[in-house]
Amino acid sequence: MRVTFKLSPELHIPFITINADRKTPDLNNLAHHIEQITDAWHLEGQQAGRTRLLTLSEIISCHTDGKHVICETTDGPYQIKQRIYELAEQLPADMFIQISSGEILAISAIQSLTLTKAGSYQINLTNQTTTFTSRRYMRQLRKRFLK
Amino acid sequence: MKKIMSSVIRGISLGITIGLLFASAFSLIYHTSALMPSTPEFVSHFSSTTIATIVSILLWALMGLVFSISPMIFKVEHWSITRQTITHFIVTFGLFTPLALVAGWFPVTPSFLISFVIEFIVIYGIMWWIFMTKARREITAINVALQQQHHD
Repeated sequence: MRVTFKLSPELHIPFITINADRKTPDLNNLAHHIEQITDAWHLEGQQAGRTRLLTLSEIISCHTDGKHVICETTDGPYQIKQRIYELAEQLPADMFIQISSGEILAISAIQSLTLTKAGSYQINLTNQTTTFTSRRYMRQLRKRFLK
Repeated sequence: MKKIMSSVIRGISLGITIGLLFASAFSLIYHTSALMPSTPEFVSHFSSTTIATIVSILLWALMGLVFSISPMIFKVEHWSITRQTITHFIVTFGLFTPLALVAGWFPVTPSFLISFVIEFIVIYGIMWWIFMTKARREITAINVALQQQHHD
């Protein structure tokens, strides 16, 4: 089946549409499969007392905040139960990268890198925030981007 | 912990080995009949050459320890290159210099000490410059890759 992209700046949260002249059992099946693939890995996030399943595509970063792990999403921050080391093992390596012992980033959220005057590795994210990595984790970034 | 212990043992062994090479050099320079741990002036502070040698071995081991522990400063994740370099300088300079002075490796003259301090600072300045240049180059290369990825 032909797959096309329809891009627009307003579409912050990506979604998939099936285009056809009518709904068939095959297409229903396909829709179901796509849902399964895209939701194959999700996190249960808590925000202001309510719980919701987070999909991979909306996650910007996961970082420790004291004893908790916070997941920054396109829909704001959510608290999750998983530890960073668990996420590092479970999140797909082609979509996420660990940048410090306490933070994992969505690769698509990385805008650019800056070396500060003092020599810290600063990462600028697409959501206009910044974070830091270290020489140790730069090795992995180098491996990921300079293959 | 295991890693730290093995690097400590390696540092101490290397320190004693280098100390022994220095001792051989001192003995050759001063034409002594037996191996001396350091300069004759250093040995004269002790009741026997044996005691002087034992003290020297201890000092060499401590010097080795300083150089085996100090690289850990560069592993402190959230420190900038500048902070790592300055801390490493302070730790190494502050601990190694007195040990080397006590071991009789350096002449205790103002001119020597001043040139030693300057050399130390220059070496660390060069090290800092190399670290920064390497990091900047690395970041530029990754940014180029990121730009290409955004355009894909």
